[in-house]
Amino acid sequence: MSAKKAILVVDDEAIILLSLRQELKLAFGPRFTYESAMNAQDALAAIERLGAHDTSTVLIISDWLMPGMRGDELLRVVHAKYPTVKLVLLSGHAEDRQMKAISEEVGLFAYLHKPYRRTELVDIVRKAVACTG
Amino acid sequence: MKKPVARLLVALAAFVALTEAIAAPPTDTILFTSSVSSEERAYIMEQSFASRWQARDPGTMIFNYRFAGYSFPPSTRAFDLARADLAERLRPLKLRLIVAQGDPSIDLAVLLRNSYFSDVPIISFEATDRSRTKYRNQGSLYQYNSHDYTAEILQLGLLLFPKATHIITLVSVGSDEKTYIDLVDELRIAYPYLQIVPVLNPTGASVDEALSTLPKNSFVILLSPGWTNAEGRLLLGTELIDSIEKDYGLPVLSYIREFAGTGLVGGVGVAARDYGRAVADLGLSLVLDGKKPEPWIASKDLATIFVDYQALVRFGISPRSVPKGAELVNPPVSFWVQYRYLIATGIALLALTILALVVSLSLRIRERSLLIKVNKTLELRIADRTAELQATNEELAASNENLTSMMRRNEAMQEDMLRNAREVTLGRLTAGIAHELNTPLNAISSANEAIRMVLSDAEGGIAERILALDDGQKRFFRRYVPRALETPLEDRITLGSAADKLEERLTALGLGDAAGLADDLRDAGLTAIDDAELSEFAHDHARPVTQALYRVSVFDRSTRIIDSAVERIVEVLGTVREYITGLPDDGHEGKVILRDSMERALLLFKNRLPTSVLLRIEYHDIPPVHGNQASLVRLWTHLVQNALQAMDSGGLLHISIGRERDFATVSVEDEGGGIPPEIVDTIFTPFVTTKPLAEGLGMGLAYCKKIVESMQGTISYSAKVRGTVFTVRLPLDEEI
Repeated sequence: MSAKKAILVVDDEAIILLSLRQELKLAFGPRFTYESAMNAQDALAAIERLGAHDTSTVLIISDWLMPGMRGDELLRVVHAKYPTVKLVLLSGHAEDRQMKAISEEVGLFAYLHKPYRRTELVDIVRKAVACTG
Repeated sequence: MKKPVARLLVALAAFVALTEAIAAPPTDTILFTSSVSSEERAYIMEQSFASRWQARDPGTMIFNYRFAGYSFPPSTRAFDLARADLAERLRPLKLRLIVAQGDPSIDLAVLLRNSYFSDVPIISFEATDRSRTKYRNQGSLYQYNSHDYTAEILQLGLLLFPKATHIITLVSVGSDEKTYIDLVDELRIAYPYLQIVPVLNPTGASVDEALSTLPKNSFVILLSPGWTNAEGRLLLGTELIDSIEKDYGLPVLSYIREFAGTGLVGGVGVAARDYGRAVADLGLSLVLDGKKPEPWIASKDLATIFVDYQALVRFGISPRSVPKGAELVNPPVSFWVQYRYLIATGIALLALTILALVVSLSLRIRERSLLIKVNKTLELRIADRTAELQATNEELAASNENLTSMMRRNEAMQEDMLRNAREVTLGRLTAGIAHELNTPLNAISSANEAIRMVLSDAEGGIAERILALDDGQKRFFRRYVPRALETPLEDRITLGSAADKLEERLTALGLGDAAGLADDLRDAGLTAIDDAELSEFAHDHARPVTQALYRVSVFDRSTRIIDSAVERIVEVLGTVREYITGLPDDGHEGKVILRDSMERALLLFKNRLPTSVLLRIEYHDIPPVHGNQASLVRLWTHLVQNALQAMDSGGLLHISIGRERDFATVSVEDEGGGIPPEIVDTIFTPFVTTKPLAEGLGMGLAYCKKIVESMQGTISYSAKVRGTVFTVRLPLDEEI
């Protein structure tokens, strides 16, 4: 396992993406690298790139609704490829049924409702990265 | 003594004979003079006329004279000889009438009459135009000619055979040829749909040729007295008619008939008619009027005369002049036939009325006798009925009440449904707005948190961090702080590769934790720095400065995020307000160049167009439209956004601006998944969206429609094999 760890945030809304990343960085400081992507393709590319720099992606926080591949689809792909990555889904609207399905399928670590509270976000991330050791 | 007795007897006989001779009045004589060259035909005419006339008037003597075989033109000498001859022979007789056939005989007759027998009338027939004109005003000259009534015969024929298409007219005219041909021409003009086949001077061969080609629905008008058939036999009168009907199966109409007892029938054809007419004119017959066309016609066996009643009326002929035993064609409708239904109805009504009166009278009588008895029963019955009605009434009232309450319930339900619909709409709108505001509000709150964290952290916040810097660090800080404050938001998003490069460069400088520093530098907008600067940052001494710079950049980034979020909120609220009030933000209307508004709209997508989408733009130069620029920009933005959202897997986005007569046309064509059939009918209704989970307000297209309609334009869409085309038509503003 690589020494360096990364948290990847994925959202098609630039302002959410930037704020999310900023909050995480301010909260967890230099323990992680904070990567951001505006869509699923970019996210997958980012994981590859981080891997190439000996950085393992330990957590992905992804928006549900995005143009192109949706958040849940992205998490399916990631889960299949990197089963140890913790997955958090972020959305304003998502039906419980769909949530349940994806949750069981990929072992979703947590589900974050928009608008999220900072404490909530930090708490979830803290728990998630704690599990990774 | 014997001799004187014989002489006496002879003398006596002579005296008696003389006395008788002196006493006998001269016999009534008719001169019949014909001009035909045919011995045979002349004989037929003479025999026929003589026998029939004498059958009617046995005391009359017929004096036949043939004035034919003369040179043409006839010499004066021949006339003189004939006149002298006739004068001598006829003088002792009592000449009552001259009948002349053909021009030479007519000339002779007129000459003879004028010279010797001034009181004797002449009947002429088969005259040419010449003699007809010549003798038109001659007293006591009665002219009769063939063809005068052929048109009427034809008319009657058409009444009897309404489906006739071919008519054949057979006539033996000799010198009357021209009249006949003129007549045929007239008939052809009058009956253009009929084939009229004239046969002049018929022979067995020419008749056979004409008749054998005729279709079944034809008839023959026979005006010729007869001819010699192919076997050399002379066919005349009824025999002739029979042979035509038998050999060719065609009906024959002819003048040949019995004329009011004149006995002129058969074998003489046209002549018979003419004689008949002449007889009538001379007061010998009561039947014929002589000035009017004859609307009757004989059957082939001459037994029946058909009379066309309508023709009689048309020609103004009194029906009383119709020969006895005639059969009516187109008979008059009798009073009884015409009004029989009316009369029958009247009688029936009268009968019914009487019956009704009788019945009512008898009933009244019975009623009266039964009245008392019945009255009681009735009273009882009425009471029963009243009770029944009462019960029914109550039932009705009850069910009425039920219905009323059901209606009320329905009304209440309808109201509920309406309220629900309103609530659903309102809920949907609120949810949509909430969703739209969610993102910017979340961003604002998050940015605010970041600022708060920078202001106060475990190390005393940004202020303390800056104050803790030494002079050298402060100078270093001051040098880079402007750059940390000038990086636009867009550039801060996808700088992973920039950070990678920085990390590589820092690793190359021998730095241990290159990733963290590279990340900070990137966030502080310090990607474009040279190796000398980078090695300064790699120094431990620069560490607090980098952290301060990063924190300062948090302020900058946060304010930019908040700006952007606020802008988004304003936009959302503006759209809602605009939809509700129908007014664009600035409300300014004027000439708008569509190309400009489209380019402005596309500018917004400049950095957001997925690489899988190929944009093709087609502009034609068209006049401006009248409207609000901001509204149009928003309109195009919506359409383009919809198109892009429909094209998850990419494709061609084709935008074109052109004109169609007085309208500008703008089409936005995508290769997306199309519109689901279940919402096709409602896409222009507010709050309808394909976007799952109320991602949008569902107001885009409704809003677009509103903009377009406010400009007197139209918006429509059509599905393609792949994707959808939205077409907007706006009236051009072409006034100069």
